[in-house]
Parts: sequence; structure tokens; C-alpha cells
Amino acid sequence: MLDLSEMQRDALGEIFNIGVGRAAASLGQIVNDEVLLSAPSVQIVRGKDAARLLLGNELRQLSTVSQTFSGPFNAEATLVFPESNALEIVRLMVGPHMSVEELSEFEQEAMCEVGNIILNACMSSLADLFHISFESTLPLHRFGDVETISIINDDSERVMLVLQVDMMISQQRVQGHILFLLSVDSMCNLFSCLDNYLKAQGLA
Amino acid sequence: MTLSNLACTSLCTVIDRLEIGLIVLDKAHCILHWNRWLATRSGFSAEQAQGQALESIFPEISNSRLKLAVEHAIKDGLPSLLSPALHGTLLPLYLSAEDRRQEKRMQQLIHVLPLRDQASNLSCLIQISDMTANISRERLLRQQAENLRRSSTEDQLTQIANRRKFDETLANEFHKAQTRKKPLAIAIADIDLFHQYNDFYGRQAGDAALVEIANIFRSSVRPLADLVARYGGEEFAFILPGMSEVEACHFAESLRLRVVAQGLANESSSIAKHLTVSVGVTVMYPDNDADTHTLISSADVALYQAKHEGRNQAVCFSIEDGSFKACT
Repeated sequence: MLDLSEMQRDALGEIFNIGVGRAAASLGQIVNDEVLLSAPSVQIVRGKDAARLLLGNELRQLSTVSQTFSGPFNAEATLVFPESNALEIVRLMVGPHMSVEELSEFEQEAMCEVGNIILNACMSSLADLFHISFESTLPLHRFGDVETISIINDDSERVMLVLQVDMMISQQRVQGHILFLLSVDSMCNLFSCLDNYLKAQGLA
Repeated sequence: MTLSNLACTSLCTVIDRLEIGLIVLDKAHCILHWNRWLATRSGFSAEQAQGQALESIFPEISNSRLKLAVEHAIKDGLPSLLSPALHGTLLPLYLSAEDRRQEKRMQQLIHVLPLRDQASNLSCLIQISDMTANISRERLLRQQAENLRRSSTEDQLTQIANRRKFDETLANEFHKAQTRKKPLAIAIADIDLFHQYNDFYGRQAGDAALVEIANIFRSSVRPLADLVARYGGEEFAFILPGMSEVEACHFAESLRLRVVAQGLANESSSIAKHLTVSVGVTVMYPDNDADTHTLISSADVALYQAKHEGRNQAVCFSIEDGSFKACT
């Protein structure tokens, strides 16, 4: 259950990479600059290990944007912007240098929108290729540390997909790191969608 | 009237009474509903808008994220948010005729939501909120916060850093020098015989002289690396990260010379016809046992020596061997 075959990992990586590419184009339009998002690396981990993964990167203050998707499988998708880097990008988009605590509602909505663009792009490319559809809540923005992110701490045995994406705005030379956590109520359903997709591609 | 007709009528009335803008689009992006809020702020009545493509009413959306968001809602069934920070005044909506004349658009928060009918066909609801008041309130608060921040770290008269900012910065730079094993230089400059200047010319002229000298000092430091602060009444202190003793001595002497060159007339002085400063400087490679107190008092000792040697001098004190030398 916890293991992804190489084929599955590559397929998920590619599927999300399509979404990430679309998100980069939308974000680039907003900032009038080229936004580069790296191909995501995909891991599958238990909630409690995700906490360690985040802590391992010494992330204290986090800013998260989440949306709940429902469909053939239900998924809580959370983007985690570590304070020190990716948030810098949002600040760059909306204005002056500020610390996380100083971000006002104004910037929080902008964070929400950036998260919304990336989450929708990733989930819609997944839906496209799996021939399924999702409904979703509007994005919700929160500040916190690793302990306060519910997706990690509610049910630590639950497994989730973790995607790591590097983000760069080319002319400004700003770089950041974003984590995309996808906590799925039924990993089996996601895997069966994935296997169907691979079969349809003649790959499994 | 059937119950469902009644429900429909009430719903349309409700939509018209809402204090937000509502647009319902069909799957071809044509306008099905356009509420009264929107009619008054856009200048297009519901009759004019209905049946039109959204883009023909608002041509500005053709390359915008709003168009993508609508496509996303209708094709993928996913909701989007367009924040005022990133899109602000996207649509030509105005609070009043006066605002319209001045091209002062309202600040908008736009939600684009998919609507699914019983047959799972998708259409789209656009909801627009007026954020103008919130945003001007936030700008005001931010401006006030900025003023407060400045007044807590800036000297009111000279508008350079105050003692509090100096102490904070010194603690940071000291820690950096410790961990990076780099030198940290401190200089303290004191206006010579300033009491006499004040007595002779009056306090107002004294304040003006302080501002002049502060301006000279501000333009003497490396803008991103160094800090100059008003340390006491007529005392100014400098934090100079990474400077060697030779560089720090040269810096201290150049401060003294720049004040001389400014030639601020001073008839009360027994040492020159113009205002002068004495400067003390010292450099430390702080190890783990070192403290900022030693650094500051060493610069103070150097300043005292400069005064002792007749003022209008720059003197360096070596923490290592306890010796003084004139800066050149």
C-alpha cells in the first residue's frame, strides 16, 4: 500500500507535471514574468512521516492553502509554503517585504489565489487523464506550524501523496519550494484510477 | 402561480436585492442572469446584458485569468478565486457616476463557481464583492504601522537610527561576526565642545547642526552594510561589519575630515573656526567568550583618548594589545 511502483511514480509525476506547467503559465500571466515550476517529485508517506519530512526541512512558520476535492475519491489537497522561501514569491507578487505575521488579509487572499491556481491545475490534469471529475471547495488559507496542519496530525496513520515543486520567477531570480500534500480517503481508488490509466496507455 | 414559480420569483428578487454582484453564465459563456447590483455599477442593465457573451460586455477580460477561471468552472467544475491584491480593478465597475468620470474602479474580489444542474451539465456563477473600503482601511493601517515602526527605531530629530535600533543591530552583527569569524568594527563620533556651541548659538541652531552632521554621517556609510545611529545627545555610533583595522581607521579619519570640510561656522570653539568631531574606533574578531560591552567600551576608550589629545582627532584602540594609534 505504501509502495509506488516505478511506473506508478513516473505516471503520477508526469500527470502532475502537466498541471504544474499550466499553473506556471497562469502565474506568469499574473506577474508578467516567466514563472518556472520544476517537475514535481512524488513520494507516498504516512501522515506522521510527513510531519517529519516537513520538520526535517526545518520549517517553523508555514503558510498553507487547502481545498477539499470530492469525486471518485475524496482528497484534501494542501499546498505548504515554507515561510522562508515560496512565500517570498507571493510577497513579490503583491508588494513590499513583510514577515508572515504581517501579511494582511489582502496578501492572504493573494496566497489563496496562487494556491488555488496550482491546486486546480494539478487536480484538473489528474481528472482529465483519469476521465473523472471532481467538485471542490474554495481555497482556504491558514498560518501555522507543523503541529497545526490538520492534514498531517488528524490521522497520522493515514497515507498521503507528497509532491515537491521548486518555483522560480526568472527575471526576479526568486526561488522557492512548495510542498503539495494530497490526503486521499481511499488510496485504493486513486491507485485503481491510476492503473486504469496505465492500462489504457498500454503500460500495464 | 405555482409553488415553483413563486420560488423562482422570490429567488430572482433575492438575487436582485443582494449587496454583491452576481452573474450566471451558460456553458457557452453567455449571460443568463445579471443582478441589479451589477447593473448599477457596470452601467449595463440586465436586459442589455442577458444573452450576450461576457467578453462582449467586458472586453478587458479577453486575456485575463477571469476568462480562464470561467473555462475552468465550466469545463472542469472547479472553483476559482481572484484576489484584489493580484487583480484589483479588473472589471470596469464604479461605485458612483463621479468615480466613473474619474475612472476610479472599485477594488474587486471575484469568486468563480461551477454550477451543476440535475443532468450534471456545468454552468458558471461569478460573484463579485466590493473590497474598496477594506483595502483603503488596510492601507491606512499599514501606513500607521509603518509610522510606528519607524518612530520606534528612528531618531526623531536626525532621522537616522536611534539607540534602540543600534543595540538590536549590534547584537545581530556581533552574533554574525562570531559565527562567520569575521571582524566587527565600531566607531563613536562626538561633536567637540557642543555645549558651548548650544550656549552660543541657541538650542535651535544646535539641533540644525546635529541634523547636518547626521546627514554627513549617513552619506558616509555603506548603505546596506553599515549602520549609523544617534547614540546620545551629540554622540553618533557606527556599526561597521567586516572592516579590518586599517579600513576602520581610514573610515574614522574620513568622518573627521568630512565634518571639517563641511565648514559649519563655530565661533564658540577654542580649537577651530568650525564644528569638529572626535572619533574613537576599534575592531574585534569576536570569539565565543567575547561580548558587545567590551567592544563598545573599547571604542569609548579610543574616543576619550581622541578628546584627551586635543579633540578633532580620530584614534584607534587595539583590543589585542591595549595600544592607541592615530587614524590616517
